[in-house]
Amino acid sequence: MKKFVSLLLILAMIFTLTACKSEEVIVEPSDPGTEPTEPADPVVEKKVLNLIESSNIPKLVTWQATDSVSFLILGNINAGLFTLGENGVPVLDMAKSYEASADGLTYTFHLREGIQWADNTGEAYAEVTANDFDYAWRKLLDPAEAAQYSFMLQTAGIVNAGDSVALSSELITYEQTLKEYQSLKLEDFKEEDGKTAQEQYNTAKADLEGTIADYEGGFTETYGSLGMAYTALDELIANLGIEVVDDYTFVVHLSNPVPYFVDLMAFPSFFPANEAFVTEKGDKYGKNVDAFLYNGPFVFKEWKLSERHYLVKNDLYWDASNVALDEIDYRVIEGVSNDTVVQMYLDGEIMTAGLSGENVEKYGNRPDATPREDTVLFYLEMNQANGKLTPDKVLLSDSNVRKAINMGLDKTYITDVIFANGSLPADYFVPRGFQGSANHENKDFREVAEDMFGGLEGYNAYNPTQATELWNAALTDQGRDLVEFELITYQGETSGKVATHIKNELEKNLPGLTVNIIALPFSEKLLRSKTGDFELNYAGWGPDYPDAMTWMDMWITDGDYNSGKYANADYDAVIEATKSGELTAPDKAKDRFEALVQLEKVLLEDDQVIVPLYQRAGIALRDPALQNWFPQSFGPDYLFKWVDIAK
Amino acid sequence: MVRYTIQRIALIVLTLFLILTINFFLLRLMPGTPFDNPKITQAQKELMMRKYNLNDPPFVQYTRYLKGVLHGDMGVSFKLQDQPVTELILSKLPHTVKIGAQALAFGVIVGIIFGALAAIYRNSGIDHAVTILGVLGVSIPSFVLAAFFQYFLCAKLGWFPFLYSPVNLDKGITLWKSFYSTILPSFSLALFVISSTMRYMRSELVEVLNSDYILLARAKGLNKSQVIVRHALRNAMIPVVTIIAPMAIGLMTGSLIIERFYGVPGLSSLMVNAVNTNDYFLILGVNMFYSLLFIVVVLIVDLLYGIIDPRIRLKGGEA
Repeated sequence: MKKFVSLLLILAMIFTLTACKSEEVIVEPSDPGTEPTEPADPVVEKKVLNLIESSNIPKLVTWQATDSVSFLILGNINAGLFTLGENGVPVLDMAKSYEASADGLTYTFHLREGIQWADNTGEAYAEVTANDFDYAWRKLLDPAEAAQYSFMLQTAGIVNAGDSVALSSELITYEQTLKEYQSLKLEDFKEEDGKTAQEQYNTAKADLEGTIADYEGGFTETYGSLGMAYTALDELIANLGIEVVDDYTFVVHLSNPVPYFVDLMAFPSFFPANEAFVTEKGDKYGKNVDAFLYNGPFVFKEWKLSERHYLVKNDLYWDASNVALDEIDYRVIEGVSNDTVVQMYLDGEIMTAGLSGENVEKYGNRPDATPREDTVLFYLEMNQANGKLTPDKVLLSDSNVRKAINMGLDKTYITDVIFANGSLPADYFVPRGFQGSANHENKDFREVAEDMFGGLEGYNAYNPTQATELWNAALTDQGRDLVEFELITYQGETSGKVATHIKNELEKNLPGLTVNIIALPFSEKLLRSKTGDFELNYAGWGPDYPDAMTWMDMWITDGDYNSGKYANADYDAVIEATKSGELTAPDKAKDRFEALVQLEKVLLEDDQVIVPLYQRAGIALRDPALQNWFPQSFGPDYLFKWVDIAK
Repeated sequence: MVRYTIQRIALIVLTLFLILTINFFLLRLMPGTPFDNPKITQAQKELMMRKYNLNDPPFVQYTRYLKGVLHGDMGVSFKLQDQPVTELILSKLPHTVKIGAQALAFGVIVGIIFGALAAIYRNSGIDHAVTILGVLGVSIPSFVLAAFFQYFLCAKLGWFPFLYSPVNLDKGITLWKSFYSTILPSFSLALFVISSTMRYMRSELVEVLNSDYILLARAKGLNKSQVIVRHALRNAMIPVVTIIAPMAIGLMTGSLIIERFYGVPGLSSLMVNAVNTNDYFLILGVNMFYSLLFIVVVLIVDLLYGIIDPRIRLKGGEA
C-alpha cells in the first residue's frame, strides 16, 4: 500500500517537475533575445500570411482532387498552363505562349524552358516538360485511378475524352444491370397490388433482360461485339487528343470548339505531374510533403493533420520574383466555430475571417468587413417524374403549378432576414457577376438577359395573387383539393430556417397545400433526390467552369443532376448546339451567348423547371494590409501568387 | 494470476472480434456510400466503389477486412488521402492521451486529497464545501464547463488561450506554452473525475475511520495522523481504484466534445468526420481502438485490485 501511495506521489511530482522544467529548457532556443544575433545583414522581415482552415486535405493528387480544400492547396503549390488573375481573367503560367487554330479545334502550347520541379526542400528535381502534362491528364481517364473529375477532359472537349467517358459509363451501367439480373431471386418478391410474387419476378426479369439485350445490341451494332466495345474503350483512352511534340510543345485537339478552353487550363485537374517521381513514390505519392513535387509559387513545407498547413515561397517558380509572400501558415482546426475564428482574427492571429450566424450582425459593420461575392446558387427542385408516379408528381408536372410556387414565395426574407450577409434573392439561375460577354460590350450575363428579355432579376417575380390564381386553377383541373408536399432539406440551423420560411409562404399563398419539412443527413438526402423520393428538394449548385453551360446543361433530359426529370427535346437541342454543335464555332460566340440567355428564359419563365431561391454571398473581416486578394469563381478559391501584405 | 491474465486476454480478443463484426455489418446499414458527391455520375461512383472493392457481397468484404486486420492492416481512409487507418489513429492519439491522462492524474490526486479531508473533518465547513463541489462536478456536463471557462477565463479575464496549441517552435509555441494551453481542456474533463473520486473517497474513509481496527490502532497509542496514513487511507483507496476504469471511459467520451471546444487535434474529429462521411474503415478502426482501450483499462484495474488488496484472490490463486 505504501508503494501505491508513493507511486502516486512520485507521479504527481514528475508531472509538476516536467511542467516546470520544460519552461527553462525549451523556451531558450526559440527566444530571440537569448540567441546570439548574427551581425551585419540587415534583418528583412518576412511576409507571412496567417490563415485558418477548418478541414483537412482529402486528396493531394491533381487527378484525384475534387474539393475546395485540396484545390486551394494544389492551386498554390502547382501551376498549370494558365492561372487566373484579377476578375478571373486567365494569364499565362507554365505556358509562355500558345496558338489556337482558326476553327478553334487545335491549341498549341509552348512551355517555358528550363523550369524545374522543386522538392520539399526547395531543391531542383527535374525539368517541367510537355510529358508531365501528358502523363497527368491521361491519369484522369485511367480506369485504375477511377478519377471522379475525368469529366473535366470531356468539358474541355478534348478528342475522344467525351466518347470514352460515355462508353465507359455505358459499359459500367451494362455490367451493373447484368449483376442485378444474376442476383434476381424469387424470394425477394412479395405479393402486392393483386400481383403474385412470381408475376412480379417475371416482370422484373423480363425488364432486365430487355435492358441487357438493348445494351448488347447497341454494342454489337457500333463496335461489332461486346468484347470489341471494351477494346474500343481502351483505344479511345489511348488515343486521347493530346500530343507531345517535343519537351516544350504540347498540342491539344478538340472535337468541337470550347469557348472557355483556356480558362479550364487554370483548373487543378489540368496540372502536370512528373511520371518518374510518381512511379518512384508509388502508393506514397501525395500522402506527405516529401512525396510530392512543386512547380507553383509555393512549396508545401509542413503538413500536420488537423494542425498545420505551412507553405513557403518556391524560389524555383518561374515567376518567383513577382511572388510577394514568403510564407503562408494555416492553422488547421477541424470544424472550428465561427466565434473562435472571429476571436482569432480580433487577436491578430489570422488575417481574414469569414462571418456567419450572429457574427454577421455583430461585426458586419466594422470598417474591415468586406463583402465576399460568390457564384453559388440555391434552388428548389420539383419532382415531375422521378421514381414512382404519384398524383403529387403529376400535379408538379404542370408548369403553372411550378410557376405558382415560384411566384408565391417571397425570397427577400431569406436574404435580408435569415442571412443578412449580402446574399441576393434570385428569380434567375445564372448568377450575377459569373460571366461576361466580350461581344456584348463586356456586359454580364444578367445584363444581357435584361437587354433581351428584361430578365436582370430573373423571371416570374413574386406575385402572391397570381400564384393563388394559377394554383387554384391547376387544382380544379386535376380535381384535387388538399395537397401535401415533402420538402427534403439539409440538416442545420439556417437550412431549417429557410425551409420553414418556404413552408410558411407556400402554405399561406397556395390554399390547400401542406409542406412537410424533412431534414436529412447529406447522404440520405442525396439518395432520396436521385431515387425521386421527394416533391420539393432544397439544393445548391456551384459552377465547374466559367461558362453558363455549367448551369444550363444540368437540365437536359435524363441528365445526372436533373432529379425532377424535366424533359424537353427543344431544350436538349439548344444545349447540343451550344455545347458541341454549330454554335460553338469561334465566330458564333455572340449567337451562342444569346442562345444560352434565351435558354435560361425557357428554363424559368416558360417552364419554371426549378424555383431559384438565392445567390449566396458572405461577409469577411479582412486585414486592410492584405492586397490583391482576388476570390476566384472556379478552381482554387484564392491564388496567393498575387497577394501582398502592405507594410 | 498468469493463467487468469491469459484467460482475460483471450476474452479481450473475442470481445474485439465481436465488436468488429457487429460494427462492420451495422455500418453497411448506414444510408449512402463514402462517395456521395452530387457532382459525380452514377457510373463514376460505381468505379470508385470498385476501386475500393466495396461492391463485393458484404461477407466477402468482411472476410477480406478481417484478414487484413490479422496482418495489421486496418484499411485506408477514403477521405484523408487514402492514408492507412492505423497511421491516422497513431498521429492523433498523443493529443487525446495527453489531455485525458492529465485530467485523470490531476483529478484522481485532487479527488483523493479533498475526499480524505472531508472525511477527516467530517461535518465541518470543508466537508460541506466538498459535498457541494461533488454534486456540481457530477451534474455539470463537461461541455458546459468548457463554455463557462472559455467565457470567463479566456474572453473576460484573458488568463488562458482559447485554443489548444501543439508545440510549434517556428511560431514560438514552446512545450511550456503548449502545456499551458492544455490546462483548461484537461481541467474541464477533470472536474468530473475530481468529484467522483472525492465522493467515493469520503464515504469509504468515513466507514473505515469508524471501524474497530482503527479504534484498536488508536488504542495501541498511534496518533491520529499515523492511523490515517498507515491504516485508513490504504483501505479506503481500494474502491477508488475500481472507479478509475469507468472514469477513464467517461474521459474518452467527454473528450469528443472538449476536443471540439478547444480545437484539440485528437481522435474525436477523426471519429466524427468519419461517421459523417461514411469513411468505413476509419470508423471501424477508431471504434476498435476505443474498445481496446476500454477493455485494457478494465483488465489493468482488475489486476491492480488483486495487488492492492491481497485478500482479493483471483482465480488460479497463486498470485
